[in-house]
Amino acid sequence: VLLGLKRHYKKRCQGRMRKHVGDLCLQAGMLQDSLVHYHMSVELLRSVNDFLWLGAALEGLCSASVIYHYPGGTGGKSRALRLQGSSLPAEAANRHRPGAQEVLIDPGALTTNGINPDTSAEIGRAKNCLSPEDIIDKYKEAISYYSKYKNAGVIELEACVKAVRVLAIQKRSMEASEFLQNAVYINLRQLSEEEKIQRYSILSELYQLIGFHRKSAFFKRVAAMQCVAPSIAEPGWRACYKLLLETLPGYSLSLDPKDFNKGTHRGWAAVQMRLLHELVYASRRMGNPALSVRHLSFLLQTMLDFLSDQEKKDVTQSLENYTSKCPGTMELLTLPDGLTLPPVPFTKLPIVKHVKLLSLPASLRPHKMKSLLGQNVSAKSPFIYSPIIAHNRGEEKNKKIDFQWVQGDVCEVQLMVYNPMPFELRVENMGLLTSGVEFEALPAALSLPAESGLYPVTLVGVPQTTGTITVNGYRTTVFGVFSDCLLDNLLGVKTSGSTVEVIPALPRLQISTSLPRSAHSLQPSSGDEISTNVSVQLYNGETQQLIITLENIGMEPLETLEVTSKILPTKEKLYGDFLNWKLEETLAQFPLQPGKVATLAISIKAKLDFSCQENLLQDLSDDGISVSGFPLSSPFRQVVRPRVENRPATAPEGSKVGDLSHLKTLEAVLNFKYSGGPGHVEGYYRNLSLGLHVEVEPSVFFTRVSTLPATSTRQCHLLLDVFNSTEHELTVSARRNEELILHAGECQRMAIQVDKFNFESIPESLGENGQFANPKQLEEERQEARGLEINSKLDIHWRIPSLKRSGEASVEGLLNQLVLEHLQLAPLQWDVLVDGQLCDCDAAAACPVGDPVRLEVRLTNRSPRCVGPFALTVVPFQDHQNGVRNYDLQDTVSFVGSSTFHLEAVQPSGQSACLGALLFLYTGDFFLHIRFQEGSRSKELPPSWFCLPSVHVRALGAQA
Amino acid sequence: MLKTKSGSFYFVILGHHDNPAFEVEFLPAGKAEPKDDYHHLNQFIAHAALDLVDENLWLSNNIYLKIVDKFNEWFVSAFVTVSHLRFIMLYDIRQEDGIKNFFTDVYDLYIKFAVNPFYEPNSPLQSSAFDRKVRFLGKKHLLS
Repeated sequence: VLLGLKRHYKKRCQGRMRKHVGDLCLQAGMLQDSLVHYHMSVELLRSVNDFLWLGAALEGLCSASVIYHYPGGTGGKSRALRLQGSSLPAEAANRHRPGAQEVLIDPGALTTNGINPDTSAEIGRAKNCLSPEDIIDKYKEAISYYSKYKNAGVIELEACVKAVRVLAIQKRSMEASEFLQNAVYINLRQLSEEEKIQRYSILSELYQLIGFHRKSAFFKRVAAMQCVAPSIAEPGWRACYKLLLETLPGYSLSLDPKDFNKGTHRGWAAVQMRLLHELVYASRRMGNPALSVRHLSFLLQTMLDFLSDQEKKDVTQSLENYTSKCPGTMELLTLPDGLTLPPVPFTKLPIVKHVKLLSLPASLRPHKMKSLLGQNVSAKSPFIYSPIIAHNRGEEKNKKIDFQWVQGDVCEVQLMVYNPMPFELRVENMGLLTSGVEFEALPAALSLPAESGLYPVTLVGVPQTTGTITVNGYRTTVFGVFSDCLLDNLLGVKTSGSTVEVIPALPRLQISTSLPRSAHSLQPSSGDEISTNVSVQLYNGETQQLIITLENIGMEPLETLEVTSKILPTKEKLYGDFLNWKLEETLAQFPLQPGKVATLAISIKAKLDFSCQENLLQDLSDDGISVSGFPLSSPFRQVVRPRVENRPATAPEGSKVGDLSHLKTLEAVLNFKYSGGPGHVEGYYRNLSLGLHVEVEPSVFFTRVSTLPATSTRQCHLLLDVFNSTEHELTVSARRNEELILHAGECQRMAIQVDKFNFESIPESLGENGQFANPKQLEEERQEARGLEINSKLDIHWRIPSLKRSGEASVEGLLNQLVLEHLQLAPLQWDVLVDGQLCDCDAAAACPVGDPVRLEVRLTNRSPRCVGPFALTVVPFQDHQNGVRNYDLQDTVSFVGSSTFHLEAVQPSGQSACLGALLFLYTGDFFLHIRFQEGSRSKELPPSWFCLPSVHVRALGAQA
Repeated sequence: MLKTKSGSFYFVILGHHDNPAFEVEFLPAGKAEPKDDYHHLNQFIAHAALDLVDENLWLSNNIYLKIVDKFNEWFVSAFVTVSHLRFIMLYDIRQEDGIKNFFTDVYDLYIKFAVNPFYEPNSPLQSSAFDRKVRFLGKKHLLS
């Protein structure tokens, strides 16, 4: 037994000695020898179960083999440098590289395989070296021996670490992770805090080495937490922060907010938020508030979708606390170790969904002069029109918008934003970011209600120079953090282009009128955009002056002005000029310097149809007085119709309701084209539109029109039934007539003696225009012209004394063909001369009894055709003024010659006359009726052509 | 991090970008709600275990990967679906069979939800019915 013990002891000593010699050989660079010694040591120690030393010898064997296999070392360059002096194998590896190269040119190796580059296999086979697989097995064995000893934790850990490095080179990560898993649970006693941190850091690094980034990050974070463990007297926040930063890639987190714009979120948001919170806290404890603000902004910007409402509140609350001391900026933050933190613009606070550059308001929008427009078109394509639109991709990218902004004028960009926060969001200093043109952004502050939904925000600015301006983005200050949000970086933003041309400055015209502004807006179909609307109420036929004040409120002189009007289509028929103005006086004040004022007077004349509506006409004409057979010898007598009395008491009220429909509306647009300043030089102008809304109330109606022949064939009486449809007393006057007073709702007849008209002279002017018109149109035009002529002769005016308003009335619309015919001068002009005196009027021609009286009938043919021949018979009669006419006058009047005259055919514009003589035998009043003889009269001619004056002759006794 | 063995479970379904699609915790009856810190730790451990899940995936023929990792008192078992969705279970008392059955049943359940044309794969499962059924399965296989 003693011998056994002694032999046992001897073997143990030998083994341990061999191991020691092996170490020394290795240190001396004699790898071959060390391998031999280690092998012998392992064999000796295995036989005596000296496990601790056996493990050490195995580890030595592994180390020596590793040096052969991986002469470059296992730790990588940085690792080797850091561990200089502390890690034996690495040092040995460095030192013995020349030795290893010696091995490479070993003649045995060369002879077997030529110049085989696979040196490791050669070495392994030739020199007692372990194969790569064996190395791991031996490490495993060694570690298992170490683990038998509680105090050998440190060397066990070290062996694990070494094995992992070898496995990492061999890319056997699963096995490596098993070693590491084991290493985590090695119980080390009484480690200092610093050692603990180091241990976790090394673990993290090893996991990194085998490609387990998430594991690595996990241990790195544990190490970071260890730095600031409560047990440490002086927490190392700086180290903690640095380690935490290193964990970020493992959690798929980068600190550049742009990385979060690319589709789906990567990584575990809850974990990432936790890390960011830790970074914020650590940087605050480090005393770097700028970093805290940056990290917190980043958290808010990138994790917004994952934050609960309460978390959103908490995060913004603490962000505001931080920024009150240190506002967030758009600058890059650089850490002492060179890492840079890019700025975090709050593109989600608020979220911008739509960006639209707005054109200037219609009144300020610049237009290009037509003559210059042609150049643009011709530059693009040689064709005037092509159905193929040249889709140029480059142009599309340019996103140039087809309207212009004007230098010096406030331009607008509309953003549709919404607030994703569960509380009110205050955005300050919200302004535009632009390039290309000097631009003065006018920042706005807004307050968005909680989870607002889309909310329009208009950002404004003034371009100071001309050129092409590009809106790149916007700027905000939210929670004390300044952000420059570029549109290119925004997700899901719809934009209809962001580039606009800025043209040189133009003047600005402001229009004010003497009329009240109107709430009425013209029908949308009008096409023009109206900046101002004014309205006025007129009685039909009334004329009112509209004074327009033109003020140049811009910075450039107003040099040119053009005024045009457009009357919007209406079913009402409009007589006369609706709008009338003289621009010359206004233009005399031009150029209008900024701040100066000019005026323009426009007269508005509302003259609609004065004929009455169908229902009213029927209502008024049912009293059965026939127009044609009106038996009044004196048309000057006025007939007061019993209308007012006949009407039921409720009628006025009832008719008032009906009156509303009588209210007619006329609408017109006045366009002011103006220009000046540098913009005028470039060929731009502005267009300002003034909408004019005129409500026309009926004044008087002519309910009926008829004619009565006057005593003279050249004249006639026009009978007008005038109805006052206003609620006021109204007077009507016509030419040469006295005023007729009409009470509200009263109707009276008015007779006006008028000279008959010779219409034939009028239509000549229409000849050229009417050439292409169809006969119906021609006839209408002719009738219109006649109406105009009649109206100007009649000159009917009305006046409402209580309102001090007056106007004209027109019969143009109500003259029918029959009335016109009556008013027309017959083309055959008949003149009857008694004793050389023209007999036409009531005045009686005096002639002596007993003497023959010469009677001449003269015909002037004004018609375009040849008329005649005619036979005329003169029939004398006496009117007893009681309805009895005495034709039996053979005894009192005798003819000298025949009582029948013959007229030869008369050529157009020719004249013919026939002569006869009468002899009055007694005194008295005689009438001569000149009749056409039956049969001789041409049937095709209208009867009004044969209207001969009746002749009144007073036969007087012979003067003594 | 020393805790007495409690028999609590933390289950999470992770999508392709390591994003959680579903999370649930099973605690034995009578145990109070854990504090926030503890909840975060679960997430960190589950996240770290993903490295091992992704490696083990290639070494096993089964979609149930058994225990892939452990940290302190926590064991981590995993189950990888055909669409490479990863079911991770953290637990502190070994219960292989229960977990395996639980994973299989949850997978069945998940497939039923995934065929819903309105469910976008990889997005969070917000169905309350799914949640209720998973909790029921948890009670059945894990806590009984």
